Amino acid sequence: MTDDRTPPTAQGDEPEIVLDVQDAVRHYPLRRRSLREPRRSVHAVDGVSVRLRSGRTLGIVGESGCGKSTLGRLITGLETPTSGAVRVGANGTPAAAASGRGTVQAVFQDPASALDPRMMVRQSVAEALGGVGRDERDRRVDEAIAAVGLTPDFGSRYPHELSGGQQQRVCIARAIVGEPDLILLDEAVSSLDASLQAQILDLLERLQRDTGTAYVFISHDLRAVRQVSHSVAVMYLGQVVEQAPAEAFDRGLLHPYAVALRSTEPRILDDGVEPVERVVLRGEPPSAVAPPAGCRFAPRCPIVEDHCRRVAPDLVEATPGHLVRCHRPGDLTLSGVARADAGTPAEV
Amino acid sequence: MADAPPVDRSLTGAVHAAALPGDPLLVVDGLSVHYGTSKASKAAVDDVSFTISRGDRVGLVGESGSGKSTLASAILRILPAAATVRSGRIELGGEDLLALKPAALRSIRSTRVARVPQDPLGSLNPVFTIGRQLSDVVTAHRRIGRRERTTLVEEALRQVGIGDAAVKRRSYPHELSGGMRQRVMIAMALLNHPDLLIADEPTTALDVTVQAQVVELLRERVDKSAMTLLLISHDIGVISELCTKVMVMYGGRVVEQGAAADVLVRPSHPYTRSLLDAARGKVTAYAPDPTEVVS
Ligand SMILES: Nc1ncnc2c1ncn2[C@@H]1O[C@H](COP(=O)(O)OP(=O)(O)OP(=O)(O)O)[C@@H](O)[C@H]1O
Ligand SMILES: Nc1ncnc2c1ncn2[C@@H]1O[C@H](COP(=O)(O)OP(=O)(O)OP(=O)(O)O)[C@@H](O)[C@H]1O
Ligand SMILES: [Mg+2]
Ligand SMILES: [Mg+2]
Repeated sequence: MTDDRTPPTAQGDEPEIVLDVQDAVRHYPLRRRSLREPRRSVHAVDGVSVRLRSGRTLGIVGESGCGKSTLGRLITGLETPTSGAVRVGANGTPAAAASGRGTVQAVFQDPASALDPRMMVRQSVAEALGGVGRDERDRRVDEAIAAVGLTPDFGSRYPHELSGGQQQRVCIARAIVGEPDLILLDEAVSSLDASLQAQILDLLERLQRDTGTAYVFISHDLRAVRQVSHSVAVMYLGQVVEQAPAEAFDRGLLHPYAVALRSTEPRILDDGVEPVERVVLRGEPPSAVAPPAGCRFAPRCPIVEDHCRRVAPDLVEATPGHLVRCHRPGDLTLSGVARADAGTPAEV
Repeated sequence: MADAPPVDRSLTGAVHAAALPGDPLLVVDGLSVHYGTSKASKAAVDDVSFTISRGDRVGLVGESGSGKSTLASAILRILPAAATVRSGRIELGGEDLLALKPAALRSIRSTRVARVPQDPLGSLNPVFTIGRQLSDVVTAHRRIGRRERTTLVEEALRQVGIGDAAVKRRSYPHELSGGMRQRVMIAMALLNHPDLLIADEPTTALDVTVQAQVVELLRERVDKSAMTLLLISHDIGVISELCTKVMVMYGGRVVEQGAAADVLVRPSHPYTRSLLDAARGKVTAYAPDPTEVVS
């Protein structure tokens, strides 16, 4: 991938903003079994603000259930925020209004259910490509199908006649064919093996270089995220707890959850090396219905202090472009993990 | 996965009771599965043979579309109508699965062999809560009271790291996150303590922390509850962590099989080599020392 992934800092020559999420909240009310039961809701996304410029990639990682796909559904306008704003495209259209107009495309987490079972692959892909002549449409559909490593005969298959990885690749072909401004990729390469993954990530990078498409890349695969992202947001229980430029994601993570997450990557069996013990976060996973009062990570944090349980930390800038939501940023280190030279830590 | 020793053909129950670790549990011999009826149709599974012994943790890797899920469906006898078994034999604990009548099959599924499907959303029933679907799996084979059922379901959810079990139990499949649905499928497959678990890409939506917990759970079930595991995954990291043996499929065929330490370290087939190179190529310099972080 390209060597220089640092976003320029000068204000003037920055590419336009294609995604602007401001304090987005999405709560899902729980069904009550009786009227006496209190009203409660799942705080799936709880005050997220992110901005993404054309030609850039924002990686999103975090524990299963922390709200990544919900944020994705807000971005694609499939759902509207309970409060806050989500705007997409150069003119800042609300995501819900832009939905279906081709500015934003998405590869959703469940490829099988994302494809219309009655449509052949060619039709599914062509559908995402509005307003072009027939010849050009055919040519671009063929190209997109080939680009994801499928042979032309897959064009006339139905979704149920495809393997899991093939379905996923059809979804990718459909997302890229119209060269949209922004693509949401929710676990989009998660059922592909390493070589196919590399091929698809290359394809995405080429598209970004050629057309300036921006990506929101949600994945549990930290290596893939690291490889494609300019900036990575780490989510925990509905909130962004750290947003770090790609380089800081390698060595300079500051939030204890982010540090623990980054150290848990499975390792590949190598010559003479036995599988090793790993860092495992213990403790009950927090409830998204009644989030902890102070810091949401406090109940599982290895370096928790009294203060953390009482006062919720704000998301503050540690260094330019590097945000963290923690009272003790950078204080959890694992032996062997090089500590970041994070500059002045945020005021707490 | 060496050549199969002679298979015990005595009654299932007897085999079951006397089973020892290391005895052959699953024997697949010369299996071919085709989609479509035309003579020209290509085999999705092409003359595949292997043996899995009791207590093995076998990883199955392979190219996208190489026939892994088809093989899993064939073993469970849940192939779609478009597929036909052209040849071969599948034995579970000495019993010929391809010859079984539907009633016998039903009792074998989920109690003796269970599957975690690759597509959880498509496999769950959208109109029932996941609590209901989990308890149905148990009550299909056992009579238990409502209280006990609830306890069992919540415990099963907690085991796979779903802490908010009392709330999530009452959720419908679309109200769960992708990784939660995947974990519900794992919990469901484990509920009846199957002899053989076939898990088809069970960790594609799991972050590394939850994944580690699930890997631990599966390992524990194999070690303590005499389960045998066939894990289909493209994730070499998870295979490395969990599996003692590895099979590699390419174009419908098993092109390589052996101890994980051999296949993953000295791969002989070019596909395996390219797969491992690609997986290792992505390894960054980041390699922290193992430290337990416990709260
Ligand atoms: N109903 C069907 N009709 C025709 N071909 C099919 C059908 N189902 C699957 N296939 C084909 O059979 C081959 C094997 O599919 P299978 O789902 O077993 O692959 P897989 O190894 O599980 O792949 P993945 O890793 O992508 O899930 C694929 O090429 C697929 O396109
Ligand atoms: N329609 C809904 N109704 C009620 N709760 C929901 C709904 N959709 C999502 N949730 C809940 O919101 C939380 C966040 O879910 P989300 O799918 O965004 O997680 P995620 O980060 O994408 O997780 P994963 O990595 O497992 O896919 C979960 O607790 C989930 O159960
Ligand atoms: Mg998700
Ligand atoms: Mg499959």
